[in-house]
Amino acid sequence: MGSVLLRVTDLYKYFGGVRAVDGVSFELAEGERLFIVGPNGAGKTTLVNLISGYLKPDRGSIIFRGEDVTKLSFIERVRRGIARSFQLVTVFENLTVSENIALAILSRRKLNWIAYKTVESFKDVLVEVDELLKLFDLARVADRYPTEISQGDRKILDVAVTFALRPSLIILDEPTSGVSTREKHIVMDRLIKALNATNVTSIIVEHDMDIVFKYANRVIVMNEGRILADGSPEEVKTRDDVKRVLLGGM
Amino acid sequence: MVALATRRELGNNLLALGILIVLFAILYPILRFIAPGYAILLTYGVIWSIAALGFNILFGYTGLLSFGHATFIGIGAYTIGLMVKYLDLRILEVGLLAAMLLSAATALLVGFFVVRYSGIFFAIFMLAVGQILWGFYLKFYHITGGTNGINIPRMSLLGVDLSRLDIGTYQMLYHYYVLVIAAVAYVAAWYIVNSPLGYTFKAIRDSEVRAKALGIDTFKYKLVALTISAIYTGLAGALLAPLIRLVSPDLAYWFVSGKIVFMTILGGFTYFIGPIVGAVIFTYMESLVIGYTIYWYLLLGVLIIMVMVVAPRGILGFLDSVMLRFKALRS
Repeated sequence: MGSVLLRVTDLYKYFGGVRAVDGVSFELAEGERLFIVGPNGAGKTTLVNLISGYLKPDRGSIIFRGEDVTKLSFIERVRRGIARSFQLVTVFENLTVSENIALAILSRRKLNWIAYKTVESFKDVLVEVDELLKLFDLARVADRYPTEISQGDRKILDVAVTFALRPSLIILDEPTSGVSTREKHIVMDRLIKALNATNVTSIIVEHDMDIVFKYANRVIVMNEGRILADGSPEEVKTRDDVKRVLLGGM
Repeated sequence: MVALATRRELGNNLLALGILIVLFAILYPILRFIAPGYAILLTYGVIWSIAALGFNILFGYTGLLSFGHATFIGIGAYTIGLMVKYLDLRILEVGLLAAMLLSAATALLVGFFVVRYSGIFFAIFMLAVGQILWGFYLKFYHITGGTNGINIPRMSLLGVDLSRLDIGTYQMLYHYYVLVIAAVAYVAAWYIVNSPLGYTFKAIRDSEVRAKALGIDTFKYKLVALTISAIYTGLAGALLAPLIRLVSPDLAYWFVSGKIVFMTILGGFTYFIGPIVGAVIFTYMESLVIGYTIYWYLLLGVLIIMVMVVAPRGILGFLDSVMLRFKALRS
């Protein structure tokens, strides 16, 4: 693994009396693929919301590529290379699949302000759209609107749009939630293929243990806002406290 | 390579715009010949189409509904009026430019506060701004002439003094003058909505949170959308003044804002040319209804409800669905 990309130190987030994130600290090296798991209400989504800047922490710091980004806004963090997808698919419903990806590329290149050229005239953008469509196996639905494709493809589109930003750190919040059991592994295979192809550092929130143990090379188990375990899937799954929390005592 | 334009909605192309412009050019002399009173309505319709098209950049493309676009109609019209009254300046091009600049400046100032809101808050905020300016035009009569308004003499077009022309010829020349400006405005709007800027507007409309997740400063782009729509509406207001020949507070009244909203919905706000079609048809519809009965408000209300029920996606949406059914039947 490479040098430290992300350092989270003593992070706290309370909602009233609820300790959603309660003193979380960890480091993430460049190229690592970290899965965050835990039962409902463990603080997984709140943690990634804090890292991506969608929420502001009450205490603690987030250092990204050596820079303290704790007080930076959501948009500023995206511009610094932290990109994310959401638990519920959020794609632009009135843009086609290829247009969704094109917009992300245009945003990355800071071309949103251009009003005198049609998007089609950006040939280099279209070439990149093509590459991403192929990488994520979305070429067959390129011309369709998100409402016209399967839930699995919508999830993949959401991820592809995030990838199009070419982030240094990609955060995927439950990429297989709402997807049928049959589609889950298809979605993950395509996702991991893209992660491997680009070698981007990733944090993936997931609740399906089969998925986690199949694809993870590092797992953080959260419970009641705290980190319960941090290690390789093999190390983590043998721990009794993890079994108790994740598998209900099995 | 992937083509992005294959799924464009009905009428979202330069050919459709060209057909409309040619139609508006040909229709005027025909109407003047067979029904002279209806020819000038076409000029009104084309002017309102500029306003509706601009409004739709904000509403249809960015998802911000404004009930206060009469603000910019008023600014445009009063720019011409005050320019004539206090500077005795009758060069219309100067007035148009000033109207667009003043509308843009107002939109930037108002927008700085208002684009932080969305939905009903944005709509009502804009309505309030419009009513403040309407109150100003009405009550500051020593400046604006109050309810008497400001009379507008014939303006020179492209530096040519047209005051000696007969009214019919002047109106026809003015129609083509308006049509050329409208053509430029239409094409510019087409480029805007099909450009990265237009896609950015659509993204904000679909999901502001997701747009932010792409690093898009949504505040800035909503402000840009409001400013562009204000420039279009201000331009329409300035073009209306020499045609009506009287600038009065009525032009800035909330009813005018509602009219722009309805024109856009009537034509189909999800279609690029929808507001153009809606504005022209509404102008004729309104005039016909007014001519028929003193209860025209009532009848217009019924018509609005009928359109909403029968064709909720507007005239273009209705045509689109008919064409789709026809295609399905043929295949």
